[in-house]
Amino acid sequence: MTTSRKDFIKLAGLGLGGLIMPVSSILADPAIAIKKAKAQGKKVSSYGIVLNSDSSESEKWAATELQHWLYKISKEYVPIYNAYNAYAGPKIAIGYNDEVKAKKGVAAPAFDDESYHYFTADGNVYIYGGKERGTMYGVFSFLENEFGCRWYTPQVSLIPEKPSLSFQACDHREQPGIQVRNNFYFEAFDATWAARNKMNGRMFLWDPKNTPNDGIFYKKQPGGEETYWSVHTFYPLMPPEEFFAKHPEYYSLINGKRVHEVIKGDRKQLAQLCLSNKDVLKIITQRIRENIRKYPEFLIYDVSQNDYYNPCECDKCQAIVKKEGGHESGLMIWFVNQVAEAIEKEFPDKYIGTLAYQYTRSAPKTVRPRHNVVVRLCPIEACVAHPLHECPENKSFMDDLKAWSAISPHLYIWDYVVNFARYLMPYPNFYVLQPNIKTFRDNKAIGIMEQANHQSRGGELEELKCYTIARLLWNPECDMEEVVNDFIYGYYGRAGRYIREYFDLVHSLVKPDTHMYIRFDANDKMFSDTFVDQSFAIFEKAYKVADNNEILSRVELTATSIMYLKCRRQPVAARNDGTYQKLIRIVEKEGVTHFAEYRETKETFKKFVEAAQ
Amino acid sequence: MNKIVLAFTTLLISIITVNQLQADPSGDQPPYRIILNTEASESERWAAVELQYWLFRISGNYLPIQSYQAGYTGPGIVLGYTEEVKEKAGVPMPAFDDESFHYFSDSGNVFIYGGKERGTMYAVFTFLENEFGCRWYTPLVTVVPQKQQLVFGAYNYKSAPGIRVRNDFYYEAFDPVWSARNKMNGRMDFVKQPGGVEAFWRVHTFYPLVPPAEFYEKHPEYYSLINGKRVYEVMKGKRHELAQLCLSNKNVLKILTDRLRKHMRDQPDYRIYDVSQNDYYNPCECDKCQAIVKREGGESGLMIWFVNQVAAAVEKEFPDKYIGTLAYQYTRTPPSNIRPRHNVVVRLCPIEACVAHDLKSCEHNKSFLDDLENWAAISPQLYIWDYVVNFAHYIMPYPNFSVLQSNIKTFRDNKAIGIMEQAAYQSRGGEFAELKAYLIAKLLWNPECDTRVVVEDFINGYYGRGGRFVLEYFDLTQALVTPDTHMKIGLQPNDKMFTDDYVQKSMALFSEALKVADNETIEDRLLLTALPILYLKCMRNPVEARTDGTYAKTLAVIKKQGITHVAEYGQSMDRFRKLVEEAK
Repeated sequence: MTTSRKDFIKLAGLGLGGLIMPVSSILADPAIAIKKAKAQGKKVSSYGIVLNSDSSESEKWAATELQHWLYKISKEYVPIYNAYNAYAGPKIAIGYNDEVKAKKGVAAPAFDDESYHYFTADGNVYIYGGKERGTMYGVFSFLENEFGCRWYTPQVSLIPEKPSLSFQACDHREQPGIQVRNNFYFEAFDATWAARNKMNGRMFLWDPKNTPNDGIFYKKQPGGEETYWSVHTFYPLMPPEEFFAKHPEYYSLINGKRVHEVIKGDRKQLAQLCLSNKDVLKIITQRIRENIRKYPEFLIYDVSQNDYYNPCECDKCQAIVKKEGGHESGLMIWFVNQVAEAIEKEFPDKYIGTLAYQYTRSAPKTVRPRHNVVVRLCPIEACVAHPLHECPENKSFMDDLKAWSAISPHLYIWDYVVNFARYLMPYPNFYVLQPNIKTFRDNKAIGIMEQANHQSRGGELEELKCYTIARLLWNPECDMEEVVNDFIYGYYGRAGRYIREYFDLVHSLVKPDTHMYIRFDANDKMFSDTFVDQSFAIFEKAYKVADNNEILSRVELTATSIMYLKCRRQPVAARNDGTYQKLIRIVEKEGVTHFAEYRETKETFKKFVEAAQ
Repeated sequence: MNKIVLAFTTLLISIITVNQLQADPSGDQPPYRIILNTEASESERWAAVELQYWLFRISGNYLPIQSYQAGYTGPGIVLGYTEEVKEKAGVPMPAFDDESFHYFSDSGNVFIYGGKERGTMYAVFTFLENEFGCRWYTPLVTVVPQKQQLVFGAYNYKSAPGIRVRNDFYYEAFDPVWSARNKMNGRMDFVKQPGGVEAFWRVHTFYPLVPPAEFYEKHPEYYSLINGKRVYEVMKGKRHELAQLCLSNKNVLKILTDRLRKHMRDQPDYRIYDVSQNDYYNPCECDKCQAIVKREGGESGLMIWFVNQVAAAVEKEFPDKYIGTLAYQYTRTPPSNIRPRHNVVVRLCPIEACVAHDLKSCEHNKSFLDDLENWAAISPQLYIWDYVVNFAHYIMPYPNFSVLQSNIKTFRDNKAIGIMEQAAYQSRGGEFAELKAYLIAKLLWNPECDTRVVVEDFINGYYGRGGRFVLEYFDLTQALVTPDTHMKIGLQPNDKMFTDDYVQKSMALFSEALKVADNETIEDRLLLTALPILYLKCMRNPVEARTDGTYAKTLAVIKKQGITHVAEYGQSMDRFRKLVEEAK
């Protein structure tokens, strides 16, 4: 995995700031609210937003959002009523009620059913779905589809202004394509943005040095989240400093010696646990159980190997591996299955997650993951110039994915969508996003995490990719060209068509023999100085027609990709022609703090360019 | 019109106050001034205040205008040709009427110059378009980016007109300020416009110059001999038609020349004065006329023989004027012997052309193209009266965008010194009127420009977020043209190119566009652009359109937008309403 723990702690703390308060406290008596609105000179609509007496928190929040955005659209204040029969005039009914039942003859959706339906009948609008998030998603889709609203980024919402409020006939249903949708971009961590864009997945790490407490580790999002607790948990669960001195047999036997770490060249590596040891199973199970009791909000709790090789070589472990056709994954699943079985009775709706990663990536021969075990696969070695199912470079991962999906009740995917060594550099992988998400879905993925630039804003086409991923995770069948154009023309205004030109240019770099991985550099053969020059020329045009300073800033932030590439390829030229200075000015103004996941920092980059001769 | 008021207000302010320069927020940009030659022409002065006005709109920075010789040494935007330009660009002073221009930067200054008449002025607008993203899309809609800071870059840009006289004959294009900003200089009737205009005085002038009411009674021999009788009008069935003049009659030549000369003295602002046949056939059949027709190889030979004499007679007094005439209907084919004089301009009109395909590629256009090429071969210059809309249904889809550029190039390559693109000239609201009027302006200035870029620039700039759906509708509409589609200026709603499927798809696109319309202003633009589809549906399925609300919506848009003509025919609006309302 490529995510450092420290950063997780930091990002988990973002966006808290008292943003989400209990909605029940916002909803006032409608008569008083109307009086207040009138006193503020607001026009009060003939429509009313009606809730049910037992509406969920997310339904109530959705009602206030609907009121807020309808006001932005039309400058008409639509009062909120707490029961669907409390208002006699035309209404927008939020949530399933008897009228929906009478008109559509459908039963109440399950609480956690995220699908939704909205329609018009007898001059009213009805929006309903499952109480947990379905109705809330229905409200946002209604505003998107029927009123052209967009929540492109946490900072940029686009809301058309209409001379008055009127509702067209509509009847629309949707359901999620992926159950757990984790958009792992920095900007997607904003809880409100995520709720508005139907993202429900989260992952949090546990660092024993920072004992979890609710304030930091669990960020409430409207409608709640489907969270995945941690990764690489062997040592967090069984710290060597606690056990190794007394029980070296709990850890890997390597070259005949029990060790908890290994020196490879000049680098220290962690070892793993001895999974055939009964006490190890006992301790892990006990700690996991305690953890679930203490932090019951998560959906999946991780039991997985450290982010290194070095599995245990003892005879007992290797006998199990041998039985499983020489696959270390067999030992792992055998172990994790036992943990999962042990906690099932107490926590029937939770999963135990583990990894099929590096030495455990190939599926075992005989053992099968239990129904409450989720195996997480990571195409970390994949070529992202071409879709998984098309590129010969990806055949081995595809084989593993299919083999796992054939023997597993469900899978979880930890996918990678940016260049982690060069966040800012052009990375034309848009055309693999959709086919890969479909491939995951077709191979039993109940959740997909798209790991991206998670440490700061900025990054190549970041806002667009983040938004597109949200669209694709909700509906893997959506028209991606439509999404991309909608975003580009909405977000960049008049400059949009040049951004589209750049988007097409950068994607034209991908040829059948181009292969692109999660780390590659500016001297890759796909780039050329001509490409750099052409891109600069396009951005020059875009700056000129940028509608205003705000849009100019968006265009400039997007252009940092090409500035960065030039700085990396021709540092002296970039320093002399002002490209470098402009890049630094923009990243500082925009708060782009990270240029790579690790190793390169803004400072090392500056040093590189400034020292180039 | 608001814009003009604003612009002239700014002029006054700028002359009175000199020292209002706003401090640059960054503090590291020296304050610029707009520097004007003391001998600057009126259009250069106007361009200076326009520049000042738009730069202020862009940046909130007010650049004072000051005279070139006032001893100011700071950075400047220098308008018009000066000694410094001569030194730096190494070019002699452009002729007064040279419309080409050049702008460049040098040592922190920006130099913008061209001919004094309009060249410098055009340079200023092009500078604002190219370097600051300004667009004057319609007389009412200007798009101006807002910048936090005024920063001037390195420039070196030249441009020259592709067509000398550029007449964009759209109602939307008649606004003189819009015309000047978009480099349109041609007019049928003289209009006061910044930088002046190259006007063509009238058409079909035989009777206006030699009126039958004045002469026929005493001199029937001045008029056509038809079937052995001198007549000034002819009955064809139940219709009165005008006849023509007897061009071989020496007195006709004398009277017409005298009258025209007097007219030229009275109204000297035109570039070209018309001497041309009435808008009918019926040329004179007398022996003398027909002998010349025979000698010169065609009726056009007689016409040119006559017009050449008028042109020769006025040349000395008016050396820079032209006499224009028509090659039209019975005079469309060029003569085999005589040649138009150097100060005669023959005007050709491809009124019968198919505009689904360009002049060069359609067999329907071969006869016109032959005449055009033959006239070009024998003439010093030509003038084109072209048609770019459906005159029978102004507000119906009319996919002729793909021929505009090619045809303008064909005219240019055949010696056209002027092109008039006749369009919906009586009212706003024609099909894609704003876009087509704008595109035509761009093409007449530069027939080599990239049409697609202009179209996309306009659509995205003018329609905001709805733009991409309008572009989709635009492409859908242009795609109605197939190799066997032929389309003339009287296209009908029941033409086979239109289908109900096309109407439905277009309606769906507009419905998407309207959802994302940024605000009510843009919503109105979208509705106006959707009008052709609403209209087409009304014409094709009037009963359905009446019951499903399409007709009501059509009328609402027409009313809100103040559209008076749905066709060239004066009573077209009543005719339309009657048709839909009485349909069963």
